[in-house]
Amino acid sequence: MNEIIQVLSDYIRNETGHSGDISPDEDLLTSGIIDSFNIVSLAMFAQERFGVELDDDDMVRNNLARLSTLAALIQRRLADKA
Amino acid sequence: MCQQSSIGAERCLPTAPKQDLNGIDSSVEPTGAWSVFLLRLIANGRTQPQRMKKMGSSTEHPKLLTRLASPFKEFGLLAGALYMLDRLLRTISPNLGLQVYEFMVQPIAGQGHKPLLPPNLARNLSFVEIGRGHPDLAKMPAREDIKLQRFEQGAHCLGAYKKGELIGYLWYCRQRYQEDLVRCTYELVDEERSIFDFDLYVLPQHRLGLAFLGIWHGVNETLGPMGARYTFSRLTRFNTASRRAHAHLGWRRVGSAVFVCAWRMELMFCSLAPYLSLTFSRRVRLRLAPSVLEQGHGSIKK
Repeated sequence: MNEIIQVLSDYIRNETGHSGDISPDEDLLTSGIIDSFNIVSLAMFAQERFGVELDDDDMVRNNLARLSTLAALIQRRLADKA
Repeated sequence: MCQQSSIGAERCLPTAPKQDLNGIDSSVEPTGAWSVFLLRLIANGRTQPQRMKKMGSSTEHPKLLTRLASPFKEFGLLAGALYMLDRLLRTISPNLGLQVYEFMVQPIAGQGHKPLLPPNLARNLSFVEIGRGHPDLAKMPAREDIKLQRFEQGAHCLGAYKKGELIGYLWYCRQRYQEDLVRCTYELVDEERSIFDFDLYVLPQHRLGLAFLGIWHGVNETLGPMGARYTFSRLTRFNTASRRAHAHLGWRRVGSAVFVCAWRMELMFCSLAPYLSLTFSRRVRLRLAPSVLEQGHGSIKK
């Protein structure tokens, strides 16, 4: 889980230039770290990076707005795959 | 004459709430309250300290400064000043105001390009042209007469559907688009390969999902194979969220213009020919070319 969060954090920093801390439970949209375009890009990156397939119904704020919830979704999809 | 039309309301009006195209608050909102306050100061001949005293709080001073500075912080010096002037003019009369536009062009991916969305995320999406009389027209917030005017000027509406439900749409014209907030007609130089889009809308319940990207995916997949390579648009300079969202999609600036509107008079300053125009009834024509995409300049200043 932590490894997934680290990979996602690195992606966000790389894409947005954000240099501060990113807490796993921080709402990335509310805090302004990413916008709604970035959030979908983040999910698409996660798909490719972790080799999972997300469903379009997964692309909702509850899943995507926090690193912890996105990482949990990726873990669930990895478990489904296994 | 400048009007607060409902056309393209979400992305075009400078007074619209600063939300991005998926409806997320994404920027500091410079409110109009400070300009009203300034105007009252001017009108009443009050000095700021007197006003502050009347407010009864010394903490109002830094708040006011923050508010005064916010348009400059958000838009930059020139655009911030234009924003302030616009708010001031609109406070004086609804028949006064500025329209500050940027003209942008965005590439449309043709066949053989990587789709914007991977197949698993696009599989439930479909794209349909919404024509006159289509029942989903009723779901669009623009006024009925505006929609009718759009069809009358030859506009098309591409609807994006998820599992058969409308999630968003894009209105566009081929060859030319007649602006409705000011008397200006945009003519597309490369008319065979260009469109002008003027109202992208994501239905509120589908914001923060795939809808925004899905619509552009649909444009690429449906209009790309028909030969469209460029889509032009005009953005209100003050809609930073929209500028940011579209910057992700490779937009480049073609030109910019400021329209000073006072009742029927429209004075235009533009970076494109004819550069300067004063009209009371006729429409000014601006020709938009996609060359900036090939030349690699004209990027968006964020």
